[in-house]
Amino acid sequence: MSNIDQFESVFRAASREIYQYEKASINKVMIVTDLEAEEMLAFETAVKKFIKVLGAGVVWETISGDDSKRPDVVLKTIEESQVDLVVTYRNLHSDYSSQIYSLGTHLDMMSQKASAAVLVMPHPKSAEFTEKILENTNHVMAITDHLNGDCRLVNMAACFTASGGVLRLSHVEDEKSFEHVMTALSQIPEIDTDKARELISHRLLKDPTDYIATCTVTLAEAGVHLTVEQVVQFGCHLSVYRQVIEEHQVDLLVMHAKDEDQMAMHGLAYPLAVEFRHVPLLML
Amino acid sequence: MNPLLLEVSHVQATVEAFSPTCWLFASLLLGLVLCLAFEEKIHAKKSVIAGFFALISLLLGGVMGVLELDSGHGSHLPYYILAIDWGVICIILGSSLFVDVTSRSGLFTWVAIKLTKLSKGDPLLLLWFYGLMTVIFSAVLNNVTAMIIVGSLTAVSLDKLGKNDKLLGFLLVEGFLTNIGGLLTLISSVPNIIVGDAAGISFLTFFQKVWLYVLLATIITIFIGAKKFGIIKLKSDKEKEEAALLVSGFNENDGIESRGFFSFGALMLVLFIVVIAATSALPVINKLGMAFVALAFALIMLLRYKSAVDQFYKGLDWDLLGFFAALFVVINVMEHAQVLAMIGDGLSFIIDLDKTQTGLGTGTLLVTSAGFSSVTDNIPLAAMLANILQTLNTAGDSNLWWSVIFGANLGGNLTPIGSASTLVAVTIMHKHKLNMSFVGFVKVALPFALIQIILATMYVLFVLDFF
Repeated sequence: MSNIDQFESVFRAASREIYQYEKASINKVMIVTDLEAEEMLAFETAVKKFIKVLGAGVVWETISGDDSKRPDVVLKTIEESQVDLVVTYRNLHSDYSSQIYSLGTHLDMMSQKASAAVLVMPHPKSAEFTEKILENTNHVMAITDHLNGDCRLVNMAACFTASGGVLRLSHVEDEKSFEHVMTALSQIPEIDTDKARELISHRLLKDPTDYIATCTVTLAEAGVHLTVEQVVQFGCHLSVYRQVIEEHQVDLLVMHAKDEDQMAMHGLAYPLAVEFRHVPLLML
Repeated sequence: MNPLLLEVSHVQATVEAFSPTCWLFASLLLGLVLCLAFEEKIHAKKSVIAGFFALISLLLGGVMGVLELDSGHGSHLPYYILAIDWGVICIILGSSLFVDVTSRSGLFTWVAIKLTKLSKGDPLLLLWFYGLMTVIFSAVLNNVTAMIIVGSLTAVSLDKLGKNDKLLGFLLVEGFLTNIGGLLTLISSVPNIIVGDAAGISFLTFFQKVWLYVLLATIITIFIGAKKFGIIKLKSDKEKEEAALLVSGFNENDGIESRGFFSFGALMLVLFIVVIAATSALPVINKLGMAFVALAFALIMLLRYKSAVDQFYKGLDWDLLGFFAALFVVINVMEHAQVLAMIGDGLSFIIDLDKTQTGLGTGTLLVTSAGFSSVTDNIPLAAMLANILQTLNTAGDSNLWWSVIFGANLGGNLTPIGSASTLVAVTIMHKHKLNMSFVGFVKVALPFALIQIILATMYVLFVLDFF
């Protein structure tokens, strides 16, 4: 080990992202519906029961009917009301039965532009909207392909996990992308392909694993009563998450839907949102 | 000095100093010095440059009858093998291997990260800690390895702290300190080994003579560096808290593969320093010399990787080793061609200044050595001057040896090509897209180097004799 790059690598590897726990503050929640009065009330009741983990001090607001018809007006109302969370459902103001592979225009805009987090429930009139599914948030899973250093995602997921529940922190490295890079490496004679595969794959999984370990310790130290479990592996996002959701009966998925390049919805979040129609999603 | 080298050195001179033949060989030596100075421009490695000049010198020496290639040294080994000081080569080979294997234990990175965390991310404290670490690593390891370790950690930690604007200042101060740290022990730098070997200075004597200068120069360099580059303490509690949190993310244990090997590495490093320091006092070992100690410790460390030692052999700086071997050959030929006697004649003018005015010769030699060392490699300079002082029968306790040691080491701080470690510092700067031209470096370095050289001159003249 005698050159600059080797030592820089050693020091970079020794440099960890630190998880900082900060209790997510959700004081004001806005429910956005297109339902009639009675159905709206039932939806509100179901939502309040589902996210009772937020506590009794939350201020609830609702917009419905014509007030929620135009997406731009809804967005404006959300921003003006300075809510911390928006609760709505798939295919708001659109036909849920014919557009099952779409979230609908309203949600598209809200998930990408609203400054508040958006909780997306199954459509109240759909078969997925069952009492069993919306019972509690005992099993919450944070989904990302870059968990390392993502304090906000972990804090929000922890905030929505019921006391004594399980918070599953996941980091799935896309196997296809990895193989694509490995194919390129295998064509470079100066690089030992087997060694590169071993070292790169180890490195890619080590950082999120270490980060989850610090999350576990920090959450316990902060007195947050939950169990942290990890899902760190290579694979295809959809199939890995499908398997985990089915195996552990996940109640809520937490993921990013916004980023500076507007890539989140085009990358991981949208396909997952469309695929897992029966699981409530918290989009940050 | 190597006895084999003595054998080939003290043959009857067949060439007169200042003769045309002598001037021809002197021009070859000048060519070597110039090519080494412009190594980067001519895109050739040191070993190739010196090897080429060794080849020409040997051929010309043989053809012109300067060298008695077939007799006179009573050995079946070829002339050019006997001309090499294998003791110096083996010290470098052994200590390089030892340091390389020991660094695998994670020991040096552990120390470096521990200090980073101890600073709590405060830039001024970080500069002091990294500065002291640079000096100690330069003394214990070598100045190039020290610069690589501390420089790369500096780049990573300042990046983490969001203080990339201070990287240039940190790297420059660390670069200067490698050459100060390189003065601390007999094995800290190659000029020390060469001159110490020629003058018969022991490890302990060397340390006793220079430690105070190293301490003073380190403090002054860091102090001025902090002022000049605006490296100050964090003021608000919020800043301190954030910085402490960021550096707490470093895990000093990350680079440690095995706790056992880590402890073994630490123990061996301490033992290595103790045995090297006590070499002259240990029976049998004193006969085998420091090269034996360095090789023995390297071999013991290599046992940990006994089935994969080739990776360490590959990692050796073969260019440097080849350069030394070729350089010793060139110096030997120059000695026979009376070039060293000719330079020595000129040098004796400087040395004789001591007779008329005490210390003038010693001081002038120090400053001249520093000046030459700043524009060319300090190793051939040290080798040549050591050889000349030896030829002039300079006493082992003369301060002239120390003038060469101080000058050869500190001259490296004047220019980016003055020493290998400052070149490493500049390489790290370029890697991190920091512009640093030759002139730019000299402008920044000049005040530091002048203070260090003036301090060294005063030290050699007025303090050294007290130790």
